[in-house]
Amino acid sequence: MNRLFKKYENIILLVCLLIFSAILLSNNARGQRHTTIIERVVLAVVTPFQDVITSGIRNMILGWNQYFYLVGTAKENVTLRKMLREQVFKNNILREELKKYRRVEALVSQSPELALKGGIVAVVVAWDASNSAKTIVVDRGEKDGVKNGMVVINHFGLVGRVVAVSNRDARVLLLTDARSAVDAYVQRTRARAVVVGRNSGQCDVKYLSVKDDVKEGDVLISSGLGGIFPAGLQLGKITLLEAGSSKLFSKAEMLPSTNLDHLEEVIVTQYPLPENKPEAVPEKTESEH
Amino acid sequence: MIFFVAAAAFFALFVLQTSVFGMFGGWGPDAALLAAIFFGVRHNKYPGLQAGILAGLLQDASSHGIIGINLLAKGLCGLASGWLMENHLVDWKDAFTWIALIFIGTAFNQFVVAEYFSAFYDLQTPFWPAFWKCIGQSLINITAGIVMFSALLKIEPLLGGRRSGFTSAID
Repeated sequence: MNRLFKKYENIILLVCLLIFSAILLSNNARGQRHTTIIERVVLAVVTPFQDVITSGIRNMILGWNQYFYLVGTAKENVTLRKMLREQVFKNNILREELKKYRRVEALVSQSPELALKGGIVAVVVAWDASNSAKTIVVDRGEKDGVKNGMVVINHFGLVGRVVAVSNRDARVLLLTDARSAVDAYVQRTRARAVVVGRNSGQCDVKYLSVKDDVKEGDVLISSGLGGIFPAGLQLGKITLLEAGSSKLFSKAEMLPSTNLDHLEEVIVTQYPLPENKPEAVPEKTESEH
Repeated sequence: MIFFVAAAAFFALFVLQTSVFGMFGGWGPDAALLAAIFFGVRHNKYPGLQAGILAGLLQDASSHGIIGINLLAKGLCGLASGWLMENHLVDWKDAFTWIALIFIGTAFNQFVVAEYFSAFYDLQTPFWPAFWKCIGQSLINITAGIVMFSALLKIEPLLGGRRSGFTSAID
């Protein structure tokens, strides 16, 4: 037996490795996954080291920019003060617009803004360990109220969704990952499509009918269909549009509105809300008295 | 002792790969591949296989959703490196051996990942972008590998191991 093993040692090792990895890979392919124990342990063990190094480097860059690299600061200061005065004036106008908007919003029960209330601000502490996937790790976890499936956004639009959570951290599957698919509308014409990541800086836009009125530069927004992402979040702009190999659909590419390779802060938010009731009418404005 | 020092060094490289290199666009050395090759060449095929499996699993668990893909690629790289050394098919005293192993390992790893995504996610990778990506990743891995391996092999005699030919070749 021992001699037999020695004789075919390499083949046996190879077959064992192939079987072991095939079992693990087939387990992945079974639809909706949950955070495994291995992923939880790795998140819990590795993230503190990543956090220390990432914040250390950020502080060094911050220190350099704020204490040493001050060329042109005085000139910039004058320009910024001028801009500030202009912005104060514009801000006053916008406040009035906002109050008007809130009154209208109270009448609409399912507005996206309402659905996105209660967001958790999180800082990106690590990126994906391989260039075969597009994920990030943020410094908010179960103890902060983050759960699997929560939506991640920033001020430019949709970033992705939470796919693994540990006590203190969470992993986010980005819009550009090949496993990500978002139902979308072309904002200008309401043409429907599906935005699918492709593990690079861009996404594919699939199922865009050749009959639809779409052109390069059109903005894509989430449709809200499927109930995973809220409607109306900006996804990106169409950068390439050409006739596809099939006669039914065009071939299109989208550049995400957020530069997902340089994310720093994001907002993690629950969607749909556990109790989807519209909130009370916001603060009363002077005009309402 | 060198075993633990090397493992700690590769873990540190892995942390850098996912933090510092991630901050600057995501192009970083593949710590798991380097670990598999190092342990395969310096400590035979079993340590190579084990290091490849563990490092690949760590990489998979940090990448969500595809547990097994890097484990397979790195495990095979570790096993193959050890087998090549065991059968004296490569000269470990020659720096070119390490460079060639890293290059082949990187290409094989990219191939396995591309095939997986093609099979399960219908993601077709065009040849030339994949080729240039492979070349770029190989150069990064080779640079990091030369630094890591020469440092580890230099401290090996201090920790009770023998002085390596690769270090002499670098000198």
